[in-house]
Amino acid sequence: MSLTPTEEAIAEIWTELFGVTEVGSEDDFFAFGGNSLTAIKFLARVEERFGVDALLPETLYEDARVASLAKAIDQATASATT
Amino acid sequence: MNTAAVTPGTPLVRFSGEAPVALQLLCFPYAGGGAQLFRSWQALLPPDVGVTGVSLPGREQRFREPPVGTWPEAVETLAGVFAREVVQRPYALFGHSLGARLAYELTHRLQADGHRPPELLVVSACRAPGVPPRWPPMHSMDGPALTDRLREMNGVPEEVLANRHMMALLDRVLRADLRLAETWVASTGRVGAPILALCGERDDIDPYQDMVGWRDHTSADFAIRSFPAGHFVLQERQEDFVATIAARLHTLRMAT
Repeated sequence: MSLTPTEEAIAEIWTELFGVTEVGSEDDFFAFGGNSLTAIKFLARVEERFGVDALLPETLYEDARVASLAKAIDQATASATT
Repeated sequence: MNTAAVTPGTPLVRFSGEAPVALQLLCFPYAGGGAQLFRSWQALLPPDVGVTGVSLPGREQRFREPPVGTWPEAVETLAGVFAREVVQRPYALFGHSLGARLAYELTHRLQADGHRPPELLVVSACRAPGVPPRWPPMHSMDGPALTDRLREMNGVPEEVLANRHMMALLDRVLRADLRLAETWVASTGRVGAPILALCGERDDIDPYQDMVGWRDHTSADFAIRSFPAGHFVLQERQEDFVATIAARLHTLRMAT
């Protein structure tokens, strides 16, 4: 299944962060070995790409699947620009 | 946050893939830690030893679940999972600090319930039952004092300690775990499983002399090994550390 642009961006960051080749929309940050340190690195990359507070740490910990994270980022960036 | 509606996540995170293994090594993390701490161990062990991280509520994929509050609750929950999913085949237990306490109490419980005992119980960075703590409890420290103490212990990366938002998020599970570790009233008596005790030479929380007493808690073989490291010896000396566990398992003829 094809990824949305935001999901693509997350997948790209994870590919680098976890050294994996494939990331799907149902994949989970913690199942890839994510921890508090990689969470901080990931959130920093999301901030670079999507702006401050596009994704909060608690949002990541609540549901760390690619699709859910992309949705949260899309909502945050939509409300930030309207 | 609605915790009531959360379906409990899987407590056992397997890193060995689909192939059957001769022995499952189940690993219990330290306070605040998760099952994923042990992901890197699989590559350091023989392929017939499967590494499984034990995931407690409140962290990683189980973040939305409230952390375990009491010892009876912790042991009861784990005993249920192990009786259903683990004891049917040969297994060994590893635990670090809080994890060692959990693994030890679970071993007693499984023994009392008449289940297959672990082939080996590995306790790491954990004082022996009955040995008093050397430091005041951490779970009741205020935020800055707790962060300072964690920094001294050298187990949490500086980037995490310096990130107040992340520290606030992890505070709940960390304190719940520390409270559990610090209110441990150890079961007395011996377990039938052999015990391997592992410690860091520079560990001032659970030093060597506080760990030798583990010899009085097994009716089988006992061995103790130390490494040039502090409390987080499992990370500081990961390769030697895991190799020592592998060698012990091999000696006990559990792995080929």
